[in-house]
Amino acid sequence: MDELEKYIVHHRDKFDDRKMDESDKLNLWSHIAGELSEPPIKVIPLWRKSIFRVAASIVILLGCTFSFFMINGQNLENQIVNEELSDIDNHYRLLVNNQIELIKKHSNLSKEDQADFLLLIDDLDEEYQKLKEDLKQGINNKKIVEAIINNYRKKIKLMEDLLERSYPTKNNFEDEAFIL
Amino acid sequence: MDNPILFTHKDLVERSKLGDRKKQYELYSLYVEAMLNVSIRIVKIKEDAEDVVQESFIEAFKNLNKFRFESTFGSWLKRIVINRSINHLKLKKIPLTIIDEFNYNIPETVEVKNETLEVNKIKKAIKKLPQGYQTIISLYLIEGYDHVEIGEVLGISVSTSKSQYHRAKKKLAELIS
Repeated sequence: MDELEKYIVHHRDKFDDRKMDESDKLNLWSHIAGELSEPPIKVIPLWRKSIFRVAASIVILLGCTFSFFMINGQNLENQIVNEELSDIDNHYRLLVNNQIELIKKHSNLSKEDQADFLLLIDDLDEEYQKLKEDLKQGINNKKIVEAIINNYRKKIKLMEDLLERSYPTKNNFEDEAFIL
Repeated sequence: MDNPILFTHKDLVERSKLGDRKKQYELYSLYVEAMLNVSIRIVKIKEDAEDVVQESFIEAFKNLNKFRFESTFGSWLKRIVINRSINHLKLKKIPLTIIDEFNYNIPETVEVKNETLEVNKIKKAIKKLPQGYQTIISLYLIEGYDHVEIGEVLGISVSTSKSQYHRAKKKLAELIS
């Protein structure tokens, strides 16, 4: 290599004339991101925890059972649905309550989180009891059953949120230099 | 594959492969300025270089699963940018090499004294070269490509790359001295 070549190679980085500020980068990125496919939905492997398997089973089974009864004739509804519904409801209510007991004893959860959780569960229990009373009166059972399912879903969502908070995901960005 | 430098930004790359948009932006942000400069040295026009860089990043992210850390991410990306920049010149029918008849009547060796060398002076001199010579000077001296790589990128033989480079360098030396 002669002097000219050595000089250019040694000063390579000084041949970069163009600077980009953050807004330039964001502007160009907006065109790039628009061409990339949507990132896959992040799946948190909650199903490895037995509590979520039970929770999901409750929602699915309740949903299927209630739908089945609602499709059947309205005349039989008040007699059969109320009896069957009562049995199924008792069964799954016990399961949800068991999971709530487990959360109460969960060692990874702070007392503060547990207290907040139990307060919200109490509110949902109140709502649930009221719905049960309404169901006994047999007025617009379809809407009431939907509301009961919704009540279970809210409880399950609370459990999910609480357990997710107890296993936070790591999200640190280290400022790194580029290497070509 | 023991060279740790190959795995620079491994975590960012792997997360980007999974479609993590935030990590993709972080990776993009680390390299975009350097890539813009690589492209602008070849295509010359800023807006064209931005288009090239934009398309290059789209290609890179869409094909990221094919990147296996056999080189650094930066050199893999730079190859995409250079290929696209060269294709841009081809589309504009700009000659990539200077034909033999277009020969400068310059001495075989041109002495350039070290004390006369200065980056801005060299940049100005490079800009006065024909486009083909500018490209080969950039690829060899600034991007660090060897003649085999230049041959692949420009679609010319290694010997043509060498002869083109030597002509380009002589002309550059003449403009500087």
